[in-house]
Amino acid sequence: MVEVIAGHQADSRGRRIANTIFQRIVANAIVLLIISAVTFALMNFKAPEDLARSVLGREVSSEQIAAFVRSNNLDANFVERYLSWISGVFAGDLGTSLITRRAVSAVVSDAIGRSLTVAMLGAFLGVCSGVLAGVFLGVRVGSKTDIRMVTALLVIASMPEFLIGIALYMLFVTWLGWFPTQAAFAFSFGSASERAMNYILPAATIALLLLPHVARVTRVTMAEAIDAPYVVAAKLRGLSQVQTKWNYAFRSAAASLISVIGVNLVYAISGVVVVEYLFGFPGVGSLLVEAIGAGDSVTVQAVIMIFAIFVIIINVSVDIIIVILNPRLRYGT
Amino acid sequence: MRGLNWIGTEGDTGASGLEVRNLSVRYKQNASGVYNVSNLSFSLRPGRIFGLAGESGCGKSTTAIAAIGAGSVTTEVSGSSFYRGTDLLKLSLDQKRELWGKEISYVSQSASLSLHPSIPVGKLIAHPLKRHLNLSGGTLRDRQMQLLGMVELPQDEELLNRFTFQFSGGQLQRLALAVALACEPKVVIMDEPTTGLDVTTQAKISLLLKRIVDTKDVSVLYVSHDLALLSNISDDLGIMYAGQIAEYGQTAEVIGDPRHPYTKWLLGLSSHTDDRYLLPGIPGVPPPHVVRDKCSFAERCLYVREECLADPVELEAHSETHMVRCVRSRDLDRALLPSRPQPQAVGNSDEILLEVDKISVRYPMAPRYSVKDVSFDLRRGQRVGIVGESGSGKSTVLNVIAGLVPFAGGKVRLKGTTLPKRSKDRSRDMSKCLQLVFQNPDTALNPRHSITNILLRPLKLFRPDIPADMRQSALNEIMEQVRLPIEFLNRFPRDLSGGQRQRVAIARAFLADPQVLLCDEVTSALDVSVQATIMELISEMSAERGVAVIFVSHDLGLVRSFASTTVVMKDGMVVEQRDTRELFTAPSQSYTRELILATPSLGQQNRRIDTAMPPSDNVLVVR
Amino acid sequence: MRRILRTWEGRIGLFLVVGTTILIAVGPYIAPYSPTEVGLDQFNQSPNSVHWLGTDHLGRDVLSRFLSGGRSIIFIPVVSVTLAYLTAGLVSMVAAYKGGIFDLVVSRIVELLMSLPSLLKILLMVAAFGPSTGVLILAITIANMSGASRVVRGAVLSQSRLDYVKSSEARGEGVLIIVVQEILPNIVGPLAADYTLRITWAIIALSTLSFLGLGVQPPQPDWGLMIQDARASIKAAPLVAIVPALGIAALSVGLNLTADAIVRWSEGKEGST
Repeated sequence: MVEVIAGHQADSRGRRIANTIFQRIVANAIVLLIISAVTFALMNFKAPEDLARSVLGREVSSEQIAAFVRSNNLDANFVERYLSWISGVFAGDLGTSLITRRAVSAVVSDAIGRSLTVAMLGAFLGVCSGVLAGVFLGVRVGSKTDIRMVTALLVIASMPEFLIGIALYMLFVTWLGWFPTQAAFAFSFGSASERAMNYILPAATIALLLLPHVARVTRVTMAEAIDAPYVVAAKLRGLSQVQTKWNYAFRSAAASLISVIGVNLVYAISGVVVVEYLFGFPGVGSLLVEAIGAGDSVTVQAVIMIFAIFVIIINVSVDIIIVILNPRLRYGT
Repeated sequence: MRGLNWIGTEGDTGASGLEVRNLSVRYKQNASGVYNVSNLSFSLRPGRIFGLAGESGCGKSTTAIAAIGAGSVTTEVSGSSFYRGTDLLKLSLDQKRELWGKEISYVSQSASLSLHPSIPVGKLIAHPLKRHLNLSGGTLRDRQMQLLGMVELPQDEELLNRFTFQFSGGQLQRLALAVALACEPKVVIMDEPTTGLDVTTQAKISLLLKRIVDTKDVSVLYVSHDLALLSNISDDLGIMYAGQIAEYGQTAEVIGDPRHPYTKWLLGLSSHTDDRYLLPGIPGVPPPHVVRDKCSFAERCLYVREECLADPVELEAHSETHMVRCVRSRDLDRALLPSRPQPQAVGNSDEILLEVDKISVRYPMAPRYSVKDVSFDLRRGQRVGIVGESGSGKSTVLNVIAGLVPFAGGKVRLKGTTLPKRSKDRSRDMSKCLQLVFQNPDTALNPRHSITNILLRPLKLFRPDIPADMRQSALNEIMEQVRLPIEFLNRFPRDLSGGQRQRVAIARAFLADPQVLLCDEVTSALDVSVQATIMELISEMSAERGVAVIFVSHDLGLVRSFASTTVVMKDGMVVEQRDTRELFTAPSQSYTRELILATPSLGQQNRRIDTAMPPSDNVLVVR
Repeated sequence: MRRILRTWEGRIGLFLVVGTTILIAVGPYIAPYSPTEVGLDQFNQSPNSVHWLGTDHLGRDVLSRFLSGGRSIIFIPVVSVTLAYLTAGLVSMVAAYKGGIFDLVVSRIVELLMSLPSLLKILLMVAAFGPSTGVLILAITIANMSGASRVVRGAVLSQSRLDYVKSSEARGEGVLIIVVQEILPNIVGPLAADYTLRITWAIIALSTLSFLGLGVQPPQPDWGLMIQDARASIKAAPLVAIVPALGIAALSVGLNLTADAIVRWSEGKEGST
């Protein structure tokens, strides 16, 4: 006879996962709110006159400053400005650029599609190749191939992204001439295929950015997982090489891997900024850099918020995957 | 070598047992010619359990793994291991994978380690079935149920969807057995399968094992350090020392008439029935590798002679079913082992030193109390033993007394004064009085502090009476008392063995000049031969200084030989608390009886277990 | 230290790090020309006997700029990471050991800090306060605090429930004594490795900032800045970009290798217990 003690049994697996997700989303929403407040504060703590001056330059009259302040609503008090801005954000209105006087939302929605494509392409390539490389190395730790590849990975990992980008640029654009030099030009005037070419190098740079870190972590977790007693036990049950490697070893490696991949993806978001700037790629990243240089606080706020939202999306996705992979978490242990 | 096929009948190699011949293993990192296991030969026969006994480091686990051809990249294995005429050690990995799990199975030490934590147990059972026997669908499900029944678990489909963390230790080991036996193997290797389980669970699983072996005609190799357990369940017994077999034969003979001095000593240490005499631990440590040019035990042996050190010693037949590796085996039949009378406690035994008054502990978010309403007294110089299985709360009680559990309920009074719950709130004198010695010598000493540093802490804190210039001699003195060389003072814990570290821990405790010594499973992480030394030390030092001792252990025999009063705990509560001798000869509670019966004692078959135990493993705990 | 030198990673790593550091420290004193002196008639020269590494697009001597351009790359990162460890690291050490509400609050704050990628945090601060040295130091410190905190917390938690700590507690010793005397010596390994890695990352971040024009400002010689400046004339004078790139790479690769060696060393030690 089976005697059941404690009653968690009834909850279905689906309900459990949904609960966890809901909790995470709420927590992250709060974080987002705090970020918005901090960002706004940082961008707007200067007196409106100073803001005007940093945009218009030094050689302006006080009338021009006053006009600027009025037209940009900088004379309202701080809290009012914040509230109007944040409610605008929810409605989809990201404000008006202090420089170009165009709606930020319009500019961003153009750019964001491109940035997303580059980022996702690069992330996909980078993570997949990283994982495969890591699994490949993890089962041969200590061998000559392993040592050689690990060194190569280390060197790449030590490079700042702009160096990787420049290396690729010099190789493929300057030297081989496979790709056009002016990405922005192609976007405004070029054909679809020309535009497509422009995605490749930035995506490749991002992939190269992710590859060594993902590979290194995968390698270490795989090497540990292969030696785990329950994997050795599986081998001793005569289970096949493939089954042991993927179903047993990789499964336990995956859970800890996912968090690290998540962290790396978050880092890659900032890499997008550098890469876009480097290649002159017209995405949100270059937008941000230009805006900072020009003193356009409205655009800066908006772009930062967008990035923050993406970070949250990544974090929540990682959390969901972890719950799926690790049954223990579903039971609230 | 003589006497190869002495177990079972001649010409049995056709039958599906395992014949291991001249197995040698060395780690590749060793200097050349240095072996970890040397020239081991034994036979596993259908329907018989071959017990391989030995202490840690003797090579028994290495042997078990190597015998089925599963050595790792770091080891070099030579010799042969015949299964149905084929030498396993000469097969390729793929060929071995055909046999492993199907005809030859391996059960490792901890079930929770051999079962993947994220795969439902049903699938774990199914994988070998699919792989080797191509079962699927209905037949697969039937077989899974059948296996559950065989290991005495409820035959419930729901169970197959659960994960390892939802089962108890005993249930897990049953599941591990089910997986190992899924394809009806002919040979099963078990490496300490019940170590770490509670005594009662261990008894039940051992019984289950025996039943399976009898009904299915399986050949079993059972590796364990617990000689008493092996004496109960194995048919043939081998004693390993320093990578070689010191003695082997039919269990009854080896236990009844041990001929190797090491075996005798080990047997003596494994039966703590007499509380009046102490068998000291074997001095020294075993050699780390195989010793080829003389008797490997010679340096620690009481009966050593010149011939022991001159030439290598071979295994010789003492009888048709008994082999010994000792040149003096014939004349040592009734040799006596050294023992000394237990030191008696000194001091006024009427004065109550410590009063434990209804302490209760409940961890936040825990479903039940870890400790509930536990009370007992401790008099000056008295020895109280607390026994119980894991989860009984015995260690928690000690932690409360030591001030490490600030949220405990109830009171602890020292010499009439109630002690603050948090050790930080206690006065220096209070802390000085109660000293704690922990279970695990690996974590009890700060790895980055030298032994001197470690010992100076209590000295500086609790002995202001010893001026700075006298400290060195105080340290030297205590090192002598715990029988450690003074040079060790400059070393670090990683340079010492487990037993030596434990001695430092004891020195650290006594250095504070306490009145109560709290021992928390201090011998559980040590080998049997080292345990005895530690017990001896505690006994002597506490008796000399009139220190009262509270000794917590799951080992009944140890408590029986050491404590004058025993407290039995289960699930956080005190079950019974009496004078030790009375408790063990005439237990008044059924749980106490269960515990005593379940503890393996030498030479008895565990037949009484059946009737005494309720089948509590059938409860499915859902978390 | 000796054990680190025994591994090939340690040797190469330390060689690179020490070599580059010496170059950076001594460089400005041995530079043949002023790094900021402009010579518009001599721009983009190839290496010759006057200018060993040629000149850049403003006619400045590349060798001198290279020799003087490393200071900022090392100074700011080291100071920032050290500050991060001294503040966040210390607080986390105590919080992780004590547990309770203090730990909960600190953990929440750290989580909050982690919600943006570090580079973005730095960009935000620079956007708000401008790219002066002080701001850069503050920004990089804040960017590293959450990471340092996590590493310290993990390391402390791995030790805090061990018996030797309990033994100290049972003696009634105070929190600070336990954290500093008992726990700290045992976590030096992973902390040192992380510290080194963070410096590497900070160097990368700083040079990236300079590259974006938001870090060290012209005409100061700075390796990141040099690379950015050189982009336009990369075909004509590649050395201008390559030499500082090699400098940055040498430093980061060296630090990474050293960090690896430290990890190897600390694991080896703990493994022998």
